[in-house]
Amino acid sequence: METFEELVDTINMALDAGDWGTVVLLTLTLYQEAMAMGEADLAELVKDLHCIAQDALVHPLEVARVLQP
Amino acid sequence: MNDQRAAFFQQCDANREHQRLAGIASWAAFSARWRARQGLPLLHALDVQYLTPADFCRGNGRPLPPAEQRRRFREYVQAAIDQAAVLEARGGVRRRAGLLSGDLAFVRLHGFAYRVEFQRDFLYGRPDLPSWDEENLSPRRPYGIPATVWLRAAPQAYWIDPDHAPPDENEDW
Repeated sequence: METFEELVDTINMALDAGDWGTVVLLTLTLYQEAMAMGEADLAELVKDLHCIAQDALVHPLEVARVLQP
Repeated sequence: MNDQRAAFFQQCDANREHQRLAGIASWAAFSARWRARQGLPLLHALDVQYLTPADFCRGNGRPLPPAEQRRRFREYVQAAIDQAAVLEARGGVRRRAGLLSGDLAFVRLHGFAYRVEFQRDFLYGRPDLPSWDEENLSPRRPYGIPATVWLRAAPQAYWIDPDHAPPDENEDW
């Protein structure tokens, strides 16, 4: 079982690698944990990340354009 | 100069706390861009720091008319300034160990304050005179000098000495 911090790190690594499938799965867990810890602001952000990752699986090129620095 | 920058980036890369805050900032930036492109409201007005007016789109992902984009951007910036003022008046955002929401609020507020402080469009008055000088209290034209570069890199505003100014082409007109 990963700690909260480890989960955040793993998601960041998946984002770096463009592994959107993993981001979709892990953000679900992180969202639940954030809500359970009362981290409402962070939970909202994680929910957005989850939706972005889902979008990226369907429209990878469009999402890559949105997220490029 | 490049060595200094490289050393600074290496220092940041090695600092785990810095990496943690940078990671949260990148999540907030992803959210802001994605929401603006979808025509959705931002999670927080301070997230406007990650956007330009051109990022604001309709729900179908097509850009809004430029005037509407600029209007929406200005409204968010105004709301962000108001919220930042309220937060600062309450004593700022204090980070508490282990709480990522606290880090998120810290990143939003400090990132915004940093940008508003150093990326103004105009320099007002004369920096070589005290703020109470008549010239700064009631400046004659030009009222402002457009700042086309990051102010930290070029903090000086230059004034042309009338004795050494080039002759006006329309002087004889």
